[in-house]
Amino acid sequence: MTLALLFRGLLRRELAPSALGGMLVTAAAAGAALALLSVRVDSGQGITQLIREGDRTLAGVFAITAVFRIIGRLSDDADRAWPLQLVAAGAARPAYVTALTIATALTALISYTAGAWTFAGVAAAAGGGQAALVRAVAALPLVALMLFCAATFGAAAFCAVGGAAARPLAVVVIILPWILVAIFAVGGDDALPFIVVRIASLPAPPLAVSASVHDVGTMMIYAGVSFACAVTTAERRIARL
Amino acid sequence: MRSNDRGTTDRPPVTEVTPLDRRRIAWPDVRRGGRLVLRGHEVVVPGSAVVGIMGVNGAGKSTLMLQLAGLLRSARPRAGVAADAATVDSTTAFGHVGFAPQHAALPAWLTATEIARMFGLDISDLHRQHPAMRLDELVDTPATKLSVGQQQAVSVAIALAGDAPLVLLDEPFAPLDFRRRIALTEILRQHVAGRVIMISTQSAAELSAVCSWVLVLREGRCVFSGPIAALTGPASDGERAVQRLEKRIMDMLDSDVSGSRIPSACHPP
Repeated sequence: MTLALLFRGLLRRELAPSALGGMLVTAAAAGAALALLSVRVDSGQGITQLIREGDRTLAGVFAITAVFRIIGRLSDDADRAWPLQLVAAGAARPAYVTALTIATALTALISYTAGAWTFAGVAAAAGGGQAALVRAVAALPLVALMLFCAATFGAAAFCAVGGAAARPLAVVVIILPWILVAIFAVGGDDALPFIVVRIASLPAPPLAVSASVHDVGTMMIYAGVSFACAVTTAERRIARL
Repeated sequence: MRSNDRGTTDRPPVTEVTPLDRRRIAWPDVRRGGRLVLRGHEVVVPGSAVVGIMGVNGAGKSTLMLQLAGLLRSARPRAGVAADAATVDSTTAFGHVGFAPQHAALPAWLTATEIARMFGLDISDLHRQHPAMRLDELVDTPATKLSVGQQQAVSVAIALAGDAPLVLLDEPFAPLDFRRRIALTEILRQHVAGRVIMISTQSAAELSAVCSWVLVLREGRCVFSGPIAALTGPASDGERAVQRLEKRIMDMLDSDVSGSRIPSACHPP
C-alpha cells in the first residue's frame, strides 16, 4: 500500500463538494465581511488589527480549523471498517496519518486562499488598496507551512492522547494562547514584554504567521516534532480496536 | 495441556492433514474492558481450507477475526499463523492478511473503482476474477449509493484478491443478495489453493456448503476444531448433513465444554 494511493484517496474525500463546498462559501463570506469592516476601522491594534489584516486572521482561523478537522477525521476513521481493512491489507498506519495530514493541510490552504483573496478583492474594491492582495500572495508559503503545522499538531494530539483528550488538549494549547495574546494585543504591543508573547504563542502555530520570517524556523521545528510524534504513536491509535 | 511420561506434550491428534500441508493458527487471551472475551488457543488446520467459525452472538468470532488480523490493541505480535507446527511469529510468516469486516463501510466519497485502487487493485481485474459477484455494475457508483450488500461484495472481493495466505471474512454472506450468495459460495469453493480462508457464520447450511474445517467458539473458548466430516458424518447428504451439523454444534454449545465427546484439535497454546 503506497502513500500515494492513500493520499489520493484521502485528498479526494477532503475535496469532495460536500466536504469542501461549505467551507469555501464560509471562507469567502467571512473574507468579504472582514473586508467591508476593514475599510471602516482606523486603528491598527487589537481587534481592529485582526479586522484590518483579515487575511492573516483567516489564516489563523483556518489553522485552528485544521487542528480540529483532522482530530475529527481521525476520530471518525480510526475504528471504521475500511481503515481496518486497509491496515490488514498492509497499509502502514503512519502512512495513513501522513496522507491525512497532507490532505487536511491542503484543503485548509484552499479554504484560506478563497477567504483571503476574497478579503483582498473586496477590500480593494471598497477602496482599501492593494496591500491586502500583496500580503495574501506573499504570505502563501508561510501560511501553507503554518497549516501543515496545525494539521500535524492535530494528528499528534490525537495519536498521542487519543480522541477524547485530543480536543481539550488542542483548546488549551491552541486556543488559549491565541486569546491571551489577543487580550494583550488590545492593550497595545508594549503592554507585555515581547518575550512573554513569544513564549505564549510558541505552542500555537496559528499565531506564528502574524510575526516574521523567523517563525519559519519555529514552525518547521514545531511541525517536525508534531509529525514525529504523530507517526510514532499512530500504531496504537489507528485501526486498533 | 498435560505432559506425558516421555516428557512430550499430549495433544489431540491431527491425522487428517500432513505435516507439510498444515497451518498452525494461534492467538493469545484477549481482554476487552477488563473482561476476558477470547481465550488463547492454538489450532492446526489444513494448509488449503475454508475454516468456518461458529458460535452464538458474543462468542468471540469477530474478536478472533480482529485478533488474527492484528487489529486489536492486544494483537502484538499478530497472532501466529505458521506453515508448520513450530512456533513462528506470524509477523515474519506473512506481511498481511485479507480481511473483510462484518459491517463493510466503505469510504463514502469514493467510487468502487477508486476504493479498489486505494487497495492497489483494479476493479476490472476483480470483476474478471469473480464475474458472478457483478462488480461491473458498481464501478462508477459512489459508496454512499451502494447498498450494504453491494459494499460487502466489494469488500469481500478486495479481501480475496492478492496472495495473502490468510483471509478473514467476518459474516460475509449476511448482507449479500441471493445471487451474490451463490457466487460467493462458488468462489470460496474454488479459491482456497494454498491459503486458509476463515469465515464466521451463523448458518450451518453456509458452513456445510463451503467449509472443510470447523472451529466452534463458546464464551470465548475454542471448544472444537476439526474437519466438518467429523460433525456431519462421512456422507454429506444435503439437508440431513446440515441438520446433523446443526445438532452437533448445538450440543457443543449447550453442553459443558469438558463434557464434549467429540475429538477436537483445539487446545490452549
